[in-house]
Amino acid sequence: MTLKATAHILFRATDTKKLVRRLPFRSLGPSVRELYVTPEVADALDGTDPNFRALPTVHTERLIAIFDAGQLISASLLGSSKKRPDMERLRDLDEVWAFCVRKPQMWQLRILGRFLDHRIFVGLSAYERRILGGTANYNDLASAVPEKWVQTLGDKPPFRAKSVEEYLGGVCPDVDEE
Amino acid sequence: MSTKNNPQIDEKFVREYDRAAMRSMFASIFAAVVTARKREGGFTFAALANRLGVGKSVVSRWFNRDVNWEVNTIADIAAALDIDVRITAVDRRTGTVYTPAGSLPTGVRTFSHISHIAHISHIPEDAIPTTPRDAPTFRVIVA
Repeated sequence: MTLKATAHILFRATDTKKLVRRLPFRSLGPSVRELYVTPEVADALDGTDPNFRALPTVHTERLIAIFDAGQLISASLLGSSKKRPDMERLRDLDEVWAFCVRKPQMWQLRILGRFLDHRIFVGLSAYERRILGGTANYNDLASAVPEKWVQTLGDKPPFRAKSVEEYLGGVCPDVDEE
Repeated sequence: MSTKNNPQIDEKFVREYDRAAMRSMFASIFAAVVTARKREGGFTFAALANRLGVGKSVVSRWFNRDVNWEVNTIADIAAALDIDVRITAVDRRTGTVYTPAGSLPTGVRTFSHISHIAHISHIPEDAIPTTPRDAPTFRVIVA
């Protein structure tokens, strides 16, 4: 996808308020990656959604800030949850990723979405990790992401790549290579 | 982020956020070097651990966890990676850049360009020049 096409898609989505750009609580430097979320996910992150009373948390805002600044975000293309990556492409689903806030351990957050382009992630739904439960329920809820993608961005295909570097850029170790 | 009137955003939150951000910055710098060395070939966490006199699992954990290093440990890691760590500070109000040798000359400011969107960090609106003739020296960083 060309830069111009991506910019046009994002302009349309943000202009119609289907998406909002999620900026860091406090910028850590120039934006290297971009995070867009639905208004519902934004409400959750702001703590205005009663289902997410624990938010905002330092850990969530830290991860968003380092994502934005191109700093260290570990990732897995194989959905290797046991290696605790910051982002993982979920198994058995078509380009559905989880943005994983793993602290505090007793209250973790997952933002599910897809990459629109190199370094551009679109978060379409947010869940407390406890709600996602085991693999079957997790995948069942995550399977709604492609449909939400179409509702939000139309028939534009998600970004597909073969390396973590192509998706994320910046400092992005692949936990499956370690 | 909309933090207006959010009671959870208090001094403690801001302090913990700033601390976490600082820790992440050092982890990211070292991870960037490690990634580059791996691409060049011959680098292993075991070798780094050996140079530092710690276990390999300790080093692995450093780059997959939020670690609160002491400054001495940061210096040791930099030495083991054979790098110099250089630090600058940016005044949040004025954009003035400070190095360990003092502030940079007046008029030096930083612009950050994010893809097709211009992003100006910490610059008061009335400091933005309207014509090239008015412009002081700028350092432009393209993201």
